[in-house]
Amino acid sequence: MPTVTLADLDARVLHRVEENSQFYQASSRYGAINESVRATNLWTGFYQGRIPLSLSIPNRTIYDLPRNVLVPMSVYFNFKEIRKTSLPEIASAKKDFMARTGATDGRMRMWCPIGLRKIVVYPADYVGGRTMEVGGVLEPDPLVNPTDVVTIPDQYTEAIEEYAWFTLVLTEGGKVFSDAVMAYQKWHRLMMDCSMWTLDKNDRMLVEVSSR
Amino acid sequence: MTLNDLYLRVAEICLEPGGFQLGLITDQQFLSAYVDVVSQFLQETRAFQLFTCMNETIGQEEWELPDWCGDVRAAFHDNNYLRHENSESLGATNEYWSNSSTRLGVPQMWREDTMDPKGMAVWPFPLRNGNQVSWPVNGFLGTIASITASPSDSITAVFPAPFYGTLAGTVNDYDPVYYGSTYVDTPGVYVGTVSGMNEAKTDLMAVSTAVLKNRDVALSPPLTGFIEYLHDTFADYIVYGILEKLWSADSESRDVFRAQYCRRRYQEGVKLVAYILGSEVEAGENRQR
Repeated sequence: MPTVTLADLDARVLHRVEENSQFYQASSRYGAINESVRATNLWTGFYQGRIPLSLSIPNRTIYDLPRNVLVPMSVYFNFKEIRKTSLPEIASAKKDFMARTGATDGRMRMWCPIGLRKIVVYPADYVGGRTMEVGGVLEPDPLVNPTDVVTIPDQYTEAIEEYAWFTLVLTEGGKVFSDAVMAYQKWHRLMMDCSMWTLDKNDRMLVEVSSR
Repeated sequence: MTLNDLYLRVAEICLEPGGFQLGLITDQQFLSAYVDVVSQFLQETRAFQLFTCMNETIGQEEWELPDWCGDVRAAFHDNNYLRHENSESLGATNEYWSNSSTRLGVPQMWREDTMDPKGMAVWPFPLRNGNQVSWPVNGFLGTIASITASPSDSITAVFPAPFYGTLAGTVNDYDPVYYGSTYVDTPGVYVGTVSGMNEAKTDLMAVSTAVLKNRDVALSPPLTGFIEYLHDTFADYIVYGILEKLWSADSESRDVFRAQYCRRRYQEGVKLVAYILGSEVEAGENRQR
């Protein structure tokens, strides 16, 4: 995937605000760009990866996910992917699965998410110290310096620029912002089309421009 | 993102960089909006869930969950998964189900209908008392070491107040006969070390949605901790929720159009989380009947 520097994105955003770097200072522009990258990533999941969860802890069933994991999608125990399931499904096999460990039930082979910040595994590793990793949509590292890069698919570069623009002009309000709302709706439509999640495609969240 | 980062960002969008100084919007209005919006977001998305342990008591049917818990999504007793039921279906199978004197036993199911918002009940009603550990109201300072626990004398570690200290190894940590998992949740501040400890094998554990714990927030001294539960990505939507409240208030800063836009952005966040969870498997999905 192509990489874009913060300086590149900033130049495009600055152009959208008519080079008004006095009103829209660098910190605001960078903030809007970072928010734009985060929002686009949450919709499309372009920033995915596999990162260490922790070393397994003897007899532990519940693990907190690292803070930069937005949506857990896969879990690896000792470098092997384990099956994703749900609490009721595990319970239907072993009602007391929370107390079961590898000492009696073999190697860890199932996991299920508990919301977005925790997971439960079955059976718990009873030895401990073995590698556990989690894969999924991650929170992008913030872009701080002009040379910092973000790797994004081509089709989202313009979307990120648009988003940063309508986010910046929210400060200004008035007609400038009213005009920019159309860009939000365009961005939102693109996200609905490119979303990696199962959506209600009729769910258009339009801002009533005519209400002004 | 910290609360103070959030404050500065909202203030900047309201053209008051560095903080609210003009009097159009006050810090108190911001804080009030913050508490409302984060609470609402956590409640509406149900994306952040907690484990909470409670001691069982002979014959006690109902439990009240702590303030930081929302809806119950699943429950365990003695590490056994409990089936989700309601009083109607219980009544259909046994008209005497609510008679505690005759319905003691090992809990098999839980329900939350016909109860207070933070209430849950189990059935049959427990036939023994769980092990209780009392923590000082103002927090615990010290060390818990070498707990010689057996399966029937284990410990539930729930800290309703700030906790400072060390939980050290127990004798049964690696004993395959007394196996089990340990989970310590600290709604208050936790500073210290946890190294192996026996779990509560005799008690009740609920999986519930999270609710904002710290509702008494202030800007001074600056709060440098992360916004409870939320990644920065979700915190962006909190910004819009707060702006919507500030711009729709009946004051000089009122701006209906921008408030409407911010409302849509906040809703976008809530719906997006719903889409994510809908595409994923979550704790309460397919509750068994």
